[in-house]
Parts: sequence; structure tokens; C-alpha cells
Amino acid sequence: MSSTDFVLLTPYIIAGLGGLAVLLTGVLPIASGGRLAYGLTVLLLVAAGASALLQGTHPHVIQGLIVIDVTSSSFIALCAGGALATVLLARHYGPIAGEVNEAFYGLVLCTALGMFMLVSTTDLLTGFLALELIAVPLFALIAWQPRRPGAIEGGLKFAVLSGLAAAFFLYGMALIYAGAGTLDGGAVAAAAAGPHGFPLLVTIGTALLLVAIGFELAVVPFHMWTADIYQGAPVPVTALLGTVAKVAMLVFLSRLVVHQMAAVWSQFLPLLGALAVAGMVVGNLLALRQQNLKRLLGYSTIAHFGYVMAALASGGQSGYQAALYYGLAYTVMNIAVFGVVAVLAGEVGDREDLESYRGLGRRHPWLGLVLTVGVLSLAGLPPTAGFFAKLLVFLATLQSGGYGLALVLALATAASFFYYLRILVVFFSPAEEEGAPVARLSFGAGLVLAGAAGLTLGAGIYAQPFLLG
Amino acid sequence: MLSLLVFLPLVGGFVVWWSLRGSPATARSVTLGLALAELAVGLALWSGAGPGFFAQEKAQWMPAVGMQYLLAMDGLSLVLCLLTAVVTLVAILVGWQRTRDWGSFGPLLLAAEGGIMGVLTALDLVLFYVFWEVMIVPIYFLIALRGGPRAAPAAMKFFLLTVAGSLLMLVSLVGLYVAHGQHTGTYTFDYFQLLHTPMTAHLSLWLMLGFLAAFAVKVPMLPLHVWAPDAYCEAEPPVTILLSGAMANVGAYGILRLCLPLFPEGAQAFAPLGMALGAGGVIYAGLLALVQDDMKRVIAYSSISHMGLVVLGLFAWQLQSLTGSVYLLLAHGVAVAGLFALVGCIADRGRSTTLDTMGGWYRPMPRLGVLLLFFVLTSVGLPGLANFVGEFLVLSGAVGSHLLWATVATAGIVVSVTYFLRMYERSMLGPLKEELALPDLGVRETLVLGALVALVLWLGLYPASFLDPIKAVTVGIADLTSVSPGAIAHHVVH
Repeated sequence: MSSTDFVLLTPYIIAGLGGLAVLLTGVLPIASGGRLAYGLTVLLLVAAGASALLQGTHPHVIQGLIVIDVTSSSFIALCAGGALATVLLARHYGPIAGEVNEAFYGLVLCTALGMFMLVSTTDLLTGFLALELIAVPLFALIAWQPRRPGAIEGGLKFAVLSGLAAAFFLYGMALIYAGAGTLDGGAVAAAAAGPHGFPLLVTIGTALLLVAIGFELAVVPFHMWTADIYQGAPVPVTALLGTVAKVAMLVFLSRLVVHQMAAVWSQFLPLLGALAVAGMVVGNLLALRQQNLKRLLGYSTIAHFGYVMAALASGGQSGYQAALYYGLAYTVMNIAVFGVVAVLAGEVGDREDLESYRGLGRRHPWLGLVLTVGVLSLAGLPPTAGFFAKLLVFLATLQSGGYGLALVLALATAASFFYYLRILVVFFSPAEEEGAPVARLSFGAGLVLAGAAGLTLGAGIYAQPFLLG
Repeated sequence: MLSLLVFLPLVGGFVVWWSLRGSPATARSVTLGLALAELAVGLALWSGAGPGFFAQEKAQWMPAVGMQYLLAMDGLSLVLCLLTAVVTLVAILVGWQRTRDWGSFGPLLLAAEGGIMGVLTALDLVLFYVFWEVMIVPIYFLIALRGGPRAAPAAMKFFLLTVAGSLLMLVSLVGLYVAHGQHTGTYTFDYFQLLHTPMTAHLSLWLMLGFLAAFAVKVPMLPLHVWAPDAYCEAEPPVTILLSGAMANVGAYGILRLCLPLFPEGAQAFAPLGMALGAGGVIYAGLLALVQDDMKRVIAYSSISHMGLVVLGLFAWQLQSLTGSVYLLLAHGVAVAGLFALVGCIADRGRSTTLDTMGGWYRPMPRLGVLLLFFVLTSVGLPGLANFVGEFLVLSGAVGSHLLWATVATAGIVVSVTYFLRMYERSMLGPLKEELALPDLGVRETLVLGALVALVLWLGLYPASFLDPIKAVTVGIADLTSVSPGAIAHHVVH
């Protein structure tokens, strides 16, 4: 490793060593009430994100394991931003108030490191390590303050799901190694076709890999517990696992599908199309009558990854571009919505029932504006990032001749308006009784909301600089 | 100037919401001021009008995917923009007393106006789509959050149909982009370049149908009109005025601007069916209007019936009928705004518009009675008043294209006389059902309606001032039926 490599690895080093440092602040003999750990975490995440953005755009591969290019630096910055949003939102979040300590922050940084690795690797083993680095801290974060109703259930379900995903991933990886003799995504296809290769094993292994990734991304039919996990986790943590953690996986998948293992994946493209249709249909149908906002957002996630799969199913460069942009849009708009839910949470628990949000948009016009931007973007209305993401998906599918897929996408999106608009209507309807507790917007949460809503609008109105790949 | 036309209401509306939420009275005045300024911008553009696209604004937007910021205005968009500005002004004045929370009502109204202006001027297809959606969101909230008890389901029906239509348009739009790109190598959403796109008749028809889905919902055209009666009746009168007087026009505009010139082959294949649907709409909505018990519903169905005539004219695809259709849009917009404004006046007096509870209202409210008669006569197409010009042109053009459907539509006009006179007779004439204080129109109401009367007379007596700019555009489109695809762009641009 050269010194340049070390410079390029700054974000990873900051997140990894920083996570340990934050944990250590807990044993310091000063009573800072968690402020020290909080401040340090914020500082570290900002530094990690900034150092990633400042890196040159020249592609560079470190030890054949980590790829530093525009995609990885941008998504490292995005993941750092997502983790930062979690930290800022959790600080004043009612249901786990007083329990957010250095361990919480340390685990968030650990997850961040995992995400950084996942978005920048094409090596399957590194991918697996990153996957576990994300998942294991999340078990604890989801069940944070275990006395909350549903906390243990959510944590356990997530643990079982991730365990299954890990098992499939490992098995798939093993088969690919047996078939190709390498775990480097870029070399697998060539090796499998070579004299010592065993292409069938690689194909089966890739299928198992897809199952594992499907679990992580809540792709139908591996979506079963998504809504339970969304409901059980504290909202700031949901904002982490529901946005950047999934998007990191998406970037990993996109790299494999379109670039590194394109030759192997090309036979799976029709299957991806089928998964896309299933996700769009099932996700939207489940969300249609849902009255619990947190569950509704879980189902909407399923639908959104259906849209993303439609982009990837086209397999080309435009599909790659669409999937990456979708990842960005999905992150910022969901953080905007989760942020509002987190700010409006009471002391005891979240407002879950949609009806409990009645009239809040009138009492808090700014929160109303942020939620409107977020929800309209989820629904895919211009001029938001969500619209532009869908436009790119349409471009990708139609360019590869997927007219049927585009049609399903259009109709599914139209149906999704039914539940997205219901959120807004309830939010802005006149409340029946006045004088409900007024939410207090902390500075950090305000920053998150403004940033997320601003990016949702900004990336939609002028998407040019956000187009990668 | 065009950007000003589009963004003055959009940005102005946001500023009103942002700064004047707490003071409805000021918000109301500022909203009115902005609407007046918007009309002034429209008039200024009119004074600089010329042949072809006399005003154009172009800027880079996202060259990586072939999008640009392209606004342009020709005679067609000019007259419809002017109408939109007038209708919005009427809507604001009709809601003047009745509406309480101008801090949110005004901005939503202005945002919808800005969206419509954008649709009417944007000629980059993605930009067009953006404004198309920007236009329907505020209208949805205006209906859903402010109307009667059944307003929310009506608004949802409106929105889901509209959005399903517009997403199909999006698919078609991207399909056209891809088809053009694969054929020529340049991927662009520029309207003028896309006019050249050569494609198979099959593809042309399907892409055209995608666009038509969005426009037909908006018009509303048979059989996608199902949202309209409910939405028109459940919304408050100002919102209904905007919906029927301004927003319905963009559907017809879309057919004329996009469906016909971009997909001449597909549209030609569809034209007979389009005429049938138009004529069917005239007679079907007319017959339904005949049995309604609510004045609002009668007017709503009459509006749908008139839009059927517009559709007939568009698909008859002939110079007179196209010109007549656009002219009918203007006339219908003004007349229906007047009719719904009168409904608003009645609602302001706390009275229901159910025909059974009305009767003999001419005596206590002679001014309202006379004005209602005037707008009713306009709507049935009395010569000398606005609608006559449009209806005459549409029908005389359509006869040449398809005698049967023209005849059916003419029968529909006879029906319109029946239902309107029935409505007038049951509401204004006869004995008073109950002796209640019914104050006649006040100064504000009389002035608003008087202005509309003046417009109707202008449209009816001196049509040339609007016919000329319209004809300059429709000539090019009418020629499309006879020329090869290569020459189409040439015709539309000049």
C-alpha cells in the first residue's frame, strides 16, 4: 500500500478509528451527559463525508478490494450524511431519550464504516464483511431501549433476516469460488469461462447471492418482515436502515449487475424484471389500506425497490445511472419524511396511527412543507428528485425495449398516489381538537429536515451534477 | 417575459404563503394584485404578438439527458394564456367574501395558474410534464381540503384518473424520446426536433394514445369524464371556475399541440373514433344534464357537453373546425366562468342550488336573473354571443369530415337549449317557493359579471381579434392531414 492509498482511505479510517474513540469517551472520568460523544460523532461523520467528496475523481483500486471512484466517493458522502441525520435526529427523539449514549454513536459509526466499504467494493468477500458490519450494529440499534413495545420483536426479526441473508450470501460466494476460483467480481465471468471454470456453479452461486441481496433490499418475495422492522425500530434508526443501509447494498448490486459481473448477471435480467413487477404490485397493494404510517413507509420501500429493480433489469449503462440516482433520491426523500415523524414523536412513543397526525401540518407549516416535499417526491411528482428518478427508470426500461415493464411502472405509480396523498390530506385537514402538544424542533433536527428537503428539491430541479456513472 | 408569466404566480404564491399566512386580508389583496399583474403580463405579450412563435426563451437545463428550458408562445398559447389569466381573476373575485383563509387559498390558486401558464408555453416535453403535474397538485388540495363533505373522494377520483393519464403520457413521452434518439442519434426532448421523428404507423398510434390518455382526462372526454361532475359540484365555486374554465383547456391544447403534430399518422387513424367520442360526449352529457336536479350539475354536464364539441372539432381536423374548437374553448371558458360565478353568488346567499328549492327568484334578484339568462343564452349558442362563433365553425368544419357525427353533435345543441331553459324556468320563473330575503347582486358581483358580459360580447361581435392569432396556428396543423411527415415541422414552425 502506498501513501496515496492511505490518503484515499481517510473516510474509512475516520469511521473505524472514530467509532472506537467515541466508545472510549464513555470511560472518561468526565460527566458530559453524552454531549462529548455526540459532538465527536457529528464531527467525525462530517469529516468522513467531506474527505470523500474532496478526493479526486480519478478511479483508483486499492489492493483489488476497494475501488475509489466518483460513485464510491459520492455514496460515501451520502452514507455519512445519512448516518449524520440519524445521530442528529436521535439526540432529541422522545422514545429513546436519555438512552442515547456513546455506545449508540459508536454503533452508528460502525455501520457507517460498513456502508463505506459496501459502496466501494466489487470483491465479494469484502462485500460480505461490509454487510455484516452494517447488520450486526443494527440489531442493537433497532432494539434500542428494549422496553419499548415491539423493540425486541423488530430487532429479532431483523437478526433472523440478516442471518438468512448472510447464509445465502456465504453459500453463494462459496459456489462462485468453487466455480471460478476467484471472488473478485470483475474476474469471475472470465474465470468461469476459462479452462478450469465451472459456469453452472457460478450461475447457482449468483442466484443465491441475489436471494441474499433481495433480503437486504426488501425485494418481493423476501419482503415479509420489512414493515415489522420499520414499526419496531426507533424512527432515527429506521431512517438509517431504511435509507442509506439499503442504498449501499443497491450500489453494490448495481456495480455487480451492470459492470463487474455483467456477463454472469445478463441471464438474470428477466428475473430482475419479474422481481420488479412483484415489488411494485405487492408493495403498493400492501400500502393501499395501511393506517399505520411507519408500516406504510415500510411497504412503500418495497414498492420503491421494485422501481429500482426495473431500472437494473434493463442492464445497460442507463439502468446503472438510473439505479444510482434512484438511490440518492430515495435516501433524501425518505430522510425528509422520517425526520418529520421523528420530530413529531411524543415522549412515550411515535405517532403511528395516521389519524394522530391530523391537522399537524396546519399547526407546523414548516414541518408540513418538508413532509409535502418528501411525500410528493416519494409519489414521484415533479419537480422533486423522486420524479427525476422515475423518469430515468422510464428511460432505462424503454431504451431496452421494456414496454410492459414501463406500463406496469406507470400504473403502479398512479396507484401509489392513493396512499401518499392520504398522508398529506390527513396532515393538512383541520384538527378536531386543538391544543395537542406542539413539537419542539431542535437545531440538529431542523438541519436534517432542511437539508433533506432542500436536496430533494434541488436534485430534482437540477439533476445534472447528481448523475453518476 | 414568458418566464415572468409562468413564475410570477408560482413564486408570488409561495411568498404569499410564506409571509402572509397569518393575515388573510392582506393575503387576499396581494393575491388579487398578483393575478392582475399576471393579466398585465399577458396583455403585454399580446401587444408584441406576431406570426409563428413570436416569443421564445431557451436555456440549458440538463444537456446530459437532452432536456432544456424552452418556453415559447404562439397565437394558440397566447389566447389560452389570456383566458387563464381572466378566469383566475374571476375565481379570486368570486371567492372574495366567501373564502376565509386566503393565506392558503390564494397561494394554491396562484400555483395552479402558474402551472397552467407553464403547460401552455413549455415546449420541452419534460418541462411540459413538470408543469402539467405542478398544475394538478394545488387543484387537488383546493378540492380535497375545502369542498363539501364528499369533496375528498371526488378529489381523489380526479387525481387518480389524472395521474394515471399523465403517467401514460410520461411513458409515451419517453418512448418518443427513445424512438427519436434511436433513429437520429440525438436524444432530446425538444418539441421542434421531435416533430421530425419518423416512426411506424403502429408506434405512432400507441404513443399518441399515451398522450391522449392524459389530455382526454383533462378535457374531459368520453369515457374518461367520470371525475368531472363530482369534482365540479363538490369543489367551491372559485375552484370549479378554475377547473372548468381554465384547466379543461389544457387538455384540448395538448391534443392540438402534441397529439396531432407529433403523431400525424396515429392521430389520423384515431380521428374517426375521436370524432365519435366527441359527438357522443355532446349528446351523452347533454342528456344527463336534462335530468339533473341541481343547477351546479346541469352546468357541469353542459360544460362536459361543450368540451365534447371541442373534441369533435379537433378530430375533424380541418381548418375551420380546429379554429372553431380553440375559439369555443375561449367562449366556453368565459361563459362557464360566468355561470359558476352566479352559482357562487347564490351559494354566498346561503341558498342551495337544488332546483326543487328554487323558483321565482327573478323577482327578488332581477340582476342575477338577467345575467343568468345572458350566460345561458351564450351557452346555447345564440348568434351574436361568444359560443355561436365557435360552435358554427366546429360544426361547419365537421360536416365536411364526417356527416353523421356532425349531425349527432348538432342534435346535442338542441338538447342544450332544452336543459338550459328547463333549468332557467325552474330556478328563476314561476312562483316564489318561500318568502325569504334574497338580496340582489352587490357591486363587486355585478362588476365581475359585467366584465364577463363585455368579454362575451367582444368574442361574439368582433371575433377577428382572437380568430386571427388562432388561425395562424391551426392552418399549419390542418395541413398535416395532406402532407408527408418530413414537411410537418416546417408547417408547424411557420
